[in-house]
Amino acid sequence: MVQPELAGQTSAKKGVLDPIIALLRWIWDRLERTLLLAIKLVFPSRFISPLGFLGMLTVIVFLILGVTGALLLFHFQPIFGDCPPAAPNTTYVPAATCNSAFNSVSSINNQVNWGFLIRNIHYQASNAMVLLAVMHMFYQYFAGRYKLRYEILWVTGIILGVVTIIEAYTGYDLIFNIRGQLAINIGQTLTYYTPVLGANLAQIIFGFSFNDLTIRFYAFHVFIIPIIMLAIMSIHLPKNLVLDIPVAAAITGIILILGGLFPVEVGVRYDPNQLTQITFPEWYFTSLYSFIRIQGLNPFIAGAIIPGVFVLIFTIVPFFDRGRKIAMIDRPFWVALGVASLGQIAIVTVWGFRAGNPFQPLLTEGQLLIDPVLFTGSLLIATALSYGFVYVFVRWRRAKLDALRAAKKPIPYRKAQPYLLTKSEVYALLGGLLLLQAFLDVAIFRAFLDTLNNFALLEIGMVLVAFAATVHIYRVSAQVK
Amino acid sequence: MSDDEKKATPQPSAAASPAARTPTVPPQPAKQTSTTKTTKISRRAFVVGALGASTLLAIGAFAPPSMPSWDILNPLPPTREGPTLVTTWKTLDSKYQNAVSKGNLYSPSEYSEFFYFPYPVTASPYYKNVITRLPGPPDVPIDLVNPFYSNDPILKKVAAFNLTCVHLRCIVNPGYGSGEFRLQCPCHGSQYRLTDAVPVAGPAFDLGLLPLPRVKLSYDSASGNITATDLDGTAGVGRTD
Repeated sequence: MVQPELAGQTSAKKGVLDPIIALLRWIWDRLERTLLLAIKLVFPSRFISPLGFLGMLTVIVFLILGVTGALLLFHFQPIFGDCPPAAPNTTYVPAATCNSAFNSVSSINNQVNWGFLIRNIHYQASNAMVLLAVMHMFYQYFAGRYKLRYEILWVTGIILGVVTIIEAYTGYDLIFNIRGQLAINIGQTLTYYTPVLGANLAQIIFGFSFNDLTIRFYAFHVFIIPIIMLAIMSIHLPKNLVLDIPVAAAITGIILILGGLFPVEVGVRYDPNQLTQITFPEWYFTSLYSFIRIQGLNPFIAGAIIPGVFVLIFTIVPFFDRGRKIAMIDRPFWVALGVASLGQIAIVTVWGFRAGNPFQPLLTEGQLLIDPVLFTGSLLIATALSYGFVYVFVRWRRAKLDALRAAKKPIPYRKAQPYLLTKSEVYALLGGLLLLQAFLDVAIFRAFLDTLNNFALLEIGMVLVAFAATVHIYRVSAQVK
Repeated sequence: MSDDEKKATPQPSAAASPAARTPTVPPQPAKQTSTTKTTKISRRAFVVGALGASTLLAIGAFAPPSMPSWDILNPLPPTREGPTLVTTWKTLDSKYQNAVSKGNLYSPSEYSEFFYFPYPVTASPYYKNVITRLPGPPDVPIDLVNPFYSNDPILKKVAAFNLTCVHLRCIVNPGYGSGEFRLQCPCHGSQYRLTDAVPVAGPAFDLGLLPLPRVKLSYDSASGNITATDLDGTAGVGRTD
């Protein structure tokens, strides 16, 4: 009596889900014909170094930028110097000092619901994308993944990196604060100084008026350059991709935490009637800015030729490094070259923030010019030292290993033993993390009620990091039998 | 040309009945190339040539020299303003006398006026100009004279220039430095002589850049009006005279 009923129930349950499963299977079968299933997406079941899939993390940050950018589109006004007439009973605001682009960004930051959060995520994610792209490039460089059939991936990657920085440039100009205005001035001048095509190119890119410029940069930033990036990405994406959910969640969480801890401000509104103030470019441009500030150096050489040569050297590396070996220890010259370029980037970036006297921060006018001897001297010393040390170290290490091999001794290497959590530790950690998440969720709710926006952002980020930790602990402890 | 066409036209008709002709077609081209190689071109060459010419003409349709299609990329510049009243000699001079009596002789922005010409500030902030009364002998030992109007009794005491620095497009400001009246850039320290806006210090001088664009002026002695008639040079680039 009982058993048939049970059997009937289970079969009825199966019957409910069957059409859905059939539908999913039907969809999956048809997806076989698309590009989607050609990409092999791997979800690693154990922890692997995120350095190996920095490119995928860059893609994730790109997606975050796409989503937050799309949300910002609903509120941003790409208009300069053409405000609507003032409301009655208010003081008249002359159109000349009106800056609709800046005003809309400031209203996104201060008035639009969730606007502060979305803008902060967008800003921090843009920084993260530039940083991750550069880290990705250097990791691939040191891992030797630019030669031996990696050439096209490498060259498209370099192009993609340059386009990413241009995209970031067009983005922060759109705010039309004094920082954006500095970048516009410099960019326009450098374009103008381009031989032969300069004047026409500047007119096409920047337009005639600042209103032209706003609309053009808006078009570049939200459509043209992202499309170009997607096109290059379609070549640059390898067939096998690693999507590590906990690391992706942690990166997203860190972006939000940074947004909460260092909320980006709208900056000083650009007003053509006010005197120009001293300001910095974004951190990824201070290196170029320091070149432009060198006394007696033509801005076009400083801002276009020198960085161009730097990028070009990176681009042609695979065509000069013809060796078949990719281990760092077998490539002392190229490894030392990579470290030297890192040293150059570091010292030049720091110079961008310093006054003409490098021990003084850049604060007031009259400090901007940099002495070429001091600058070039510090650059050469940094390059020579970093190159020399690394080259000697790699050769020394190589000689040591060769000696061991010749003596037929075992090559010593350290292998860190993974720390396996006991059962009670797993329970305690997971329970604690769940409690933390629950607490943070309530805290986020409270923070929103009290309009503590950056606190909410910080806590959302922490929840994501806690989630990442939970998934990671699950993954680690599930392997232990 | 007519020979080529004659050669080209019969060929398609010859190939029109394909089934019957197929076995005899292969030897035919070999015969032709051997006998009439110098005067006639092959069908393949003609077709390829026609394809190429057609492609070029199709591209050419988008690029008439009178209005090239890349003009869609160019912005629509606002209309350039004609002669515009800037100020009167009386106001400018009284400002100067006031500043001198208050002891502000060495801050020339006290007796300068700023104006946007020939495009409004809503169009571009780079068309900001200054008009300054140049200090004269009772107050300073040397008579500062605008070299472009050295014969005009009033306009020689007036200087008017575009303020966009030719170095990196910051807006410069009248000031005083190194014993000279100058236009000084707050960003990177370029300095221009106040009388003729030639760079004398800073990056603009180091790099040998052009002087600032000059506002051409006219003076009406009856009303005392000073009118800007034209801008000589391009803002942010400089003037070439």
